[in-house]
Amino acid sequence: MRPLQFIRSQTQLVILVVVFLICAAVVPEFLNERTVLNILKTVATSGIVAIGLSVVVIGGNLDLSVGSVFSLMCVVSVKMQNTSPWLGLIVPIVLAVGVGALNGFLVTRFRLNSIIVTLGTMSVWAGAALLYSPTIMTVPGTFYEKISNSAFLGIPTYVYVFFAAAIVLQVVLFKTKFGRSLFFQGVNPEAAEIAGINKNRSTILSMVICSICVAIGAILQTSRVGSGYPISGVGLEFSALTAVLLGGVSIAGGKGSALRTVIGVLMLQVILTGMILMDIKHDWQSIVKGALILVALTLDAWQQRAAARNPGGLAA
Amino acid sequence: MLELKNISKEFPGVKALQDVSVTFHNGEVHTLLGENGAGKSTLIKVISGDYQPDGGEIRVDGGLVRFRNSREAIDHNIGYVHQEVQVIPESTVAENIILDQLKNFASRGFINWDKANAFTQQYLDMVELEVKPTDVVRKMTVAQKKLIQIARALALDASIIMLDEPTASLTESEAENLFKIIGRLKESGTVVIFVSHKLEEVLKISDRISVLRDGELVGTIENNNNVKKSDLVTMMVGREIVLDKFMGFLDVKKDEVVMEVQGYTLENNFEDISFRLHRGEILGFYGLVGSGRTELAKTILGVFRKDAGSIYIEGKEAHIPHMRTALEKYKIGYVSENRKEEGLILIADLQDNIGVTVWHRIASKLRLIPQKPEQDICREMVDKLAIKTTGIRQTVNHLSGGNQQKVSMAKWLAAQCDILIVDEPTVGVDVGAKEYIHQIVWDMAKKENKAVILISSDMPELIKLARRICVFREGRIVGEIDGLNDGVEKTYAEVSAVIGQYLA
Repeated sequence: MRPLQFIRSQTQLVILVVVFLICAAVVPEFLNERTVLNILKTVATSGIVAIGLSVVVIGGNLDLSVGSVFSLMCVVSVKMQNTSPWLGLIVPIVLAVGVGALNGFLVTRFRLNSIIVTLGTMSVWAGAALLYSPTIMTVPGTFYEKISNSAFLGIPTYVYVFFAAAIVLQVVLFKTKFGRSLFFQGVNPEAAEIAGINKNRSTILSMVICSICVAIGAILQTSRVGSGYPISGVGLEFSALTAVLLGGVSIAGGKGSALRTVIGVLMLQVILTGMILMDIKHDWQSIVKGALILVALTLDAWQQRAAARNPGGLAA
Repeated sequence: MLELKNISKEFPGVKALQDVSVTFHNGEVHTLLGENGAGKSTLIKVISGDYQPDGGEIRVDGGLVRFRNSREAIDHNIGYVHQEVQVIPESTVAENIILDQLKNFASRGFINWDKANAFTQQYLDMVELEVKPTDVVRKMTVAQKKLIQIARALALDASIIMLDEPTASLTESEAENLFKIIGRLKESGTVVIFVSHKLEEVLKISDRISVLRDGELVGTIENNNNVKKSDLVTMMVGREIVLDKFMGFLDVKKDEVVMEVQGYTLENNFEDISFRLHRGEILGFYGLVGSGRTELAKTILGVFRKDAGSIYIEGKEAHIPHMRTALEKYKIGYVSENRKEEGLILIADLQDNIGVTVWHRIASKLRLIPQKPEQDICREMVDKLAIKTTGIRQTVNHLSGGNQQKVSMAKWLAAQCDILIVDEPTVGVDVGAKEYIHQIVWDMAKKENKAVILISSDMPELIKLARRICVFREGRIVGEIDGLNDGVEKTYAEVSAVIGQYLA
């Protein structure tokens, strides 16, 4: 591939580099080890959620419940710690399988729109998290400290977990039958079905994978901050979706990748960190996130329209 | 009079029209003919204002016009009857017909329905459609809907009317009726621009014929009695092609029933369908669009859920809840009639489109799909079907219609199915590719001993390939034609006469 072609095909990566360079040039104290490490640390937990969400979006669905599920898994993980450290790891993940399967079941069995279904479950799990643990809980054991303190080459282990998850899901998406079927059904569910793809099965599996990612993110988060907070996931669905779209995953389905989402996650965090370091008032973050999601959506829609307008050679 | 001078239109990478100049006179039926991708549709859409030409000029009655959108073409009294049936099903006939000119019937924002209904009646009379302006369109037949579409175009007081494949879903008698209406339009001095793939009817109703090939005008000829079908084909394709040659006989294993369907019913679609399919056989399903054949195929494959009936594959009762089961367990394939919506993922490449049916076969224990075998299979198919492409990584929407259809077939050849249901395989496919696809279907049965169900409303195609034909009407099998495989060649006239009797 020629350099120019590569740049054109990696628009998001180029934008990330440009944004990073702008921040490095404009913001004092941006370009030092601590800032970069902080970006990676912050990204690791919410980033896993975004990667999981991108799997659902590629299949042509949406999961709005990731934030509430994140809250729920945080408090469940902390409470389970009281019994046994291992339960704090295992129970959230097992629970996540159920939560994702429930979303997928409702979407496929009753042919409901995933946005509406997960809007419902979002509210249910938000309430469940608050009922289960109305206040903030600190982590009792030292098990979490081990997780959060362990590091390799000066970078915390959970940052590696994030990148490992991205690579695993990248392989799943592009090399397995499930992943490739997901792209197919994301573009054209009818054609996918006629081609012998069981789209119900892949929809459910995609939502289960997403929830598992959320649970892992929640466990990493609790160990990082040392406490479980029943509203820690509020707004997470929004920033995760922003990152997914910034990474160039199409909201219409069938386009994107786990690694692209990593780029989106980094892009979002670089911008937010730059703003913090410039002492821009916190309220502006919400406005900027909102503006970014609108820009990303517009670009996506614009690309789709351009693709539709080109009748594709003589096929028209 | 409509004059096109040196019209050019380019899409990224493709010259869809190059320097096309045609004059359409008042009171003539002027047919546009060409293979798929020759530029007919593009030319029509330039006239209808859907596309803006990159070069050249359009004159209506001598005056230079430039349409920025279809509305402006309508304002110049150009009526366009789209290829697909385009009606608003939940609305009344009158609502459908005045759709383009609501403002003519409105006073202070309200529609004057008495005026609208009276106006509509006038055009219903013109197309001899016996429905009331207040009837809802939903339950009408395809032919009636087509006539409503035509009435809508006429109601624009159209001096130019374009009919894009209007007979594709009509019976012969319905088509005859349409030709009568066209005849009357012609007498009243309307410019009629006609597009059809059916050469018989083109020769029957056209005054002049313009042939396009690869975006260029090959020529415009007067349709006198000396013009023959083969002349038109040669002009279209640029070389001589023998049409519908006799294929011979199949070696049908009469004692090996690979699929038996009993009493299949899907409410409101088809009822009590039973048939047997043998190894090495091509079984034809003839009927009009909407006679339940496609729905039957999709029900057999598990895409729709049947209301009653049972199915036996290789003698054993089968349960097929999903297309995936049909493919992976019973090895049944289905080439969709609708390649753009169902048969292909247009924005994906050949490898994805062909490979999808073999993934389950080549996946490793970890469910990973190895690249090499998949690509080998895809390349083999590209060679076998002579698909014109730059490589298996090319996106399929950059292929021509015929080549797209080949990809759609390649996908199911790659799947190595024992039973293949092929649904309208040559709709919108050019003559050269059509011959090729016929050969593929034939070889499936003849050389590979597969069982094939061929769904088609193209009678010559069915008679050429199928060696037994079930005739469908309104969701039932109304007759079966056997004896096409007993060593004596039946003529088209003989078989079509029998089919006509069943449908009468």
